[in-house]
Amino acid sequence: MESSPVLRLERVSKAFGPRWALREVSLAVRRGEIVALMGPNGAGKSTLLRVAATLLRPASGVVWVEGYRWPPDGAGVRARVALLGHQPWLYPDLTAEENLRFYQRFYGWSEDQEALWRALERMGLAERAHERVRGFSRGMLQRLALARAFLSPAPVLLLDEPFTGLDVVGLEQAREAIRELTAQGRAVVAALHDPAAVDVAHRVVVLVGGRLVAEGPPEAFHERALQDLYRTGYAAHGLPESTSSRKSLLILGRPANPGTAPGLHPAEPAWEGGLSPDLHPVREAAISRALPGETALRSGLASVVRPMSALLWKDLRVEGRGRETLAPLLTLAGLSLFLFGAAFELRPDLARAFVPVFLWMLLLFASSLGVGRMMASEIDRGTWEGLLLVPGDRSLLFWGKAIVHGLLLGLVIALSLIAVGVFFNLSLWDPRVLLLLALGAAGLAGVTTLLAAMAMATRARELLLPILLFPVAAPLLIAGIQGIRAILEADPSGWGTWAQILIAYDLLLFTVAWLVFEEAVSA
Amino acid sequence: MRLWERLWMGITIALMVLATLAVFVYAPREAKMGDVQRIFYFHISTAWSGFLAFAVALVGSIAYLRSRARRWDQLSHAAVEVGLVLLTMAIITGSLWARPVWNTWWTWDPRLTTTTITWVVYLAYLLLRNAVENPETRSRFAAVYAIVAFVTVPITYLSARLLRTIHPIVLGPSVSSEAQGQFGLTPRMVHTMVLSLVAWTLLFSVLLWMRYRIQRAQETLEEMEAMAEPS
Amino acid sequence: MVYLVAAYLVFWGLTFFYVLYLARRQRALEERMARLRARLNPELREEHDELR
Repeated sequence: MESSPVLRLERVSKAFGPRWALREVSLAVRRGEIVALMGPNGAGKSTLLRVAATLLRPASGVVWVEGYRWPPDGAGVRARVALLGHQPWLYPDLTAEENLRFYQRFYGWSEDQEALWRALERMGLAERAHERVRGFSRGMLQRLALARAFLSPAPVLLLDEPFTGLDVVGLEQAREAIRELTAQGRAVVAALHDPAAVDVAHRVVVLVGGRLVAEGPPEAFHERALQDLYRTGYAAHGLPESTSSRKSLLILGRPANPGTAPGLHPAEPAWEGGLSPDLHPVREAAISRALPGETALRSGLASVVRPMSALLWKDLRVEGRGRETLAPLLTLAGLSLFLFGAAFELRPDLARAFVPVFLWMLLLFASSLGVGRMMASEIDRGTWEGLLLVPGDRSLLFWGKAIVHGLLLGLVIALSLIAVGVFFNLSLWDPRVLLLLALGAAGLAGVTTLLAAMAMATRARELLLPILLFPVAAPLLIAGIQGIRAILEADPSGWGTWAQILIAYDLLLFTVAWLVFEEAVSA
Repeated sequence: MRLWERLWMGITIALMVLATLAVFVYAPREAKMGDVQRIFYFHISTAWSGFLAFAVALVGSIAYLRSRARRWDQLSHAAVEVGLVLLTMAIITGSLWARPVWNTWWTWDPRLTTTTITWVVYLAYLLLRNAVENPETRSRFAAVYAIVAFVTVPITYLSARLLRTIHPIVLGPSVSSEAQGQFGLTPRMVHTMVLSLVAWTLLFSVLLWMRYRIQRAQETLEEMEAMAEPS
Repeated sequence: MVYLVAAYLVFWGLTFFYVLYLARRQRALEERMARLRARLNPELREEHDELR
C-alpha cells in the first residue's frame, strides 16, 4: 500500500563547532520500511539518528514525524520515535526486568507485563531477567537495550549499530524482531557498518562526509561498491579521486550524474521515489493495535506524575542498592560536624552563633557533592540521554530530579540535626528551624539540579559546580544562617523576614530554572 | 577603522580626559574627607558601567537562547569580560577609599558584599565557558548561567542589606556606609558626576565594541581554519 | 592624597592595560588570518572563496 512517509528529514544540517556533521540531508521513510544507513566512520550516521530523535537540534532543516515537526516540537517527535543509542542506557544496579519496567513507566508506554516478558524472551534474556545488569556482558547489554527499543510503541525506530556485540543467535533474534515490527507497520532506520548485515533492509542510503551520496537496494551495496563510495565520497565513477578532503567536499556539492554506476543512483529527496518492491505488506489492523502512540501522550496529571514517580522509584532503588551517594554523603556530614566540634570546642553561647554556620555550609557542600555525584553518574552511564528522551516536556526531568535531590538533602539535614544535638548539646528540632532548613534545601536542590546538569557535562565537573553554585546560593546562606540565629537568640521578629527571603529565592529560582532547564540540557 | 568608529573613540577619549580634569580641578574639595572623596566620581561610574555590562550580557543571553544566533553569545561574552574589568576597578578603588575614610580595607557592607558576589558570579561564567569544548554547548550553558546569575543579584543585595539592618551590630563601631563617609553634593559635584558617568558609559561601549569585534573575528577565523585543514 | 592617586592610577592603568591586551589579541588574530591566507593562496584561492 502506498502511504505518506512517517519519518521525513528535510534538508537537515548539523555542525559541531566549525565542522559540518550533516549537510542538507533529506530522507523519507514509510511505515513498514527498513532503511539501512551506511557510511564510513564519522560520516554522520549517529548524528542523523540523534537529530531525528531530538537529542540534537539541527542547525537548519526540519524533521517530521507523523505531522510533528522538530524543531520546535521536540516533545511531539520524541513521543513517536524510539532510539537505540551507542550506549545501552541501562542502570547496572537494576535487574534486566526492572530496567525495562522503569522505561515503560518513565516513557509512558503501557505497563504491560506480558509485553515486557515477551520482549525479554525475544532477545533471549528471560532466564536472566532477575539478575542485575551489572554482571551482563556487552552483548547481553545490547540485547537488553534492543528489547527496550522493541518494547516501545513508537512508529519510528532509530537503531544505532543495533547488532554490535551480538552473537549469531542474538543477531538472528534481533533481525527477526525488526522484521516483525516492520510487518506491524513500524518504520526502522538502522545505522550499520557491516555490509553483511544490510540484507535486513529494504533500502540502503549512504552518508559520506555528512551528505547523502547514494541510495538503492541492498544488493547494490556489496563490499566493493561501498569501498569505492567511501573512498571517493560519490556514487558516480569517472570523477577524479580527490587527494584532499577539501576537494571532495566540493565535488560532493556538484549535481549528481545518475546512471554512471549500475545499481546505484545518487540520492534524491527520497519521498519522491517509489517503494522497494520487496516491501512487506503493511497490515492496517496491526498498526492501529500495535501503535498505542496516544498512550504516550496521555494528557493531564498522569503524563507528569507517572514519569516523575518512575524516576523517583528508580533513583531510590539505584541509590539503595549502589549506595553511591547517600552513605558517603551522610558519613561526610557526620564527620565534618564531629571535627568542627572537636577543633573548636565551642562554649554554649558561641555554639549558638556558629552551629547555624556549620549547618548551612555543610548543606551547601552536601548539595554540591551529592547532587553533583548523582548527576555525574547519570551522565557517565549515558543514561542521561535516555532520560532526555522522555516524551513531553523535559522540565519534568528537572522537577523529578530536584525532588530526589531535595530528599537527599533532607536526609543530610536530619542526620546533621541529630549530630548537632549530640555534639553541641543544641536541639534544633524547632518547627521554625525545620521550615527554614526545608526552604533552603528546596532552593538548593532546584538550583543545584540545574547547574549540575550543565557542570557535569563539562571538563572541570566537580570543581566547577561549587564555583557556579556558591555565589548564586549566597542569599540562601545569608538568610538561612541569620534566620536560625534569630530563632536561637530568641529574636522572634527576625526569623520571619529571613523565611520570606528564602521563599522569594525559591520561587524566583524555581521559575527561572524551570524556564531555562530545557535550554540547558537540549543540544 | 571606519569614520564613525574613529569619531566615537575620539569623543570617548576627549570626554575621559575632560572628566579627569573635572574631577581634579573643577570639583570642589569635600570638607570632611578632603581630596580622597574625589575617588567617588570614577568609582561610581565604573560600578555603574560594570552593572550595565552585566545587563547587556543578560539581554544577549536571552536573545541567544531565543535566536541561537552566535553574535548574541559573542556580545554576552564580551560584555561579561569588560564588565569584570570595570567592576574590578570599582572594587579596588572602593577599598582604597574605605581605608582612609572607614579606617579599614574591607567591611561587610551590603553594597560591597553584593558587588563582590556579582564579580565572583561572572568570574564563574568565564570559567564555565572555559570548561566546555563544544562551541554550541558552551554558548548555551553560558547563556543559561548568565540568566540564573543575574536574577540572584537583587536577592543577594536584599539579604545582605537586611543582614545589616535587622541584625544588631555587635563588634566595634558602626561601619555602614550611611554612618560614615556620607556627604552632600554641591552643583559642581553633580556636574562632575554626570560628566564622568557619561564618559565611562561611552568608554564601556567602546571597550565592548572592541572586545565583541575580536570575539567575532576569532570565531570566524577558527571556523575558516577548520575548513582549510584537511580532515 | 596617596589613596586618591593610587585610585586614579588603578582607573587609568587598568583601562590602559585592558586596551593593550585587546590590541595584542587583535594583532595576533590578524597574524593568524595572514598565515591562513598565505597557506590557502597559492592554488586554493577559489576553493577557499567557495567554501566561505
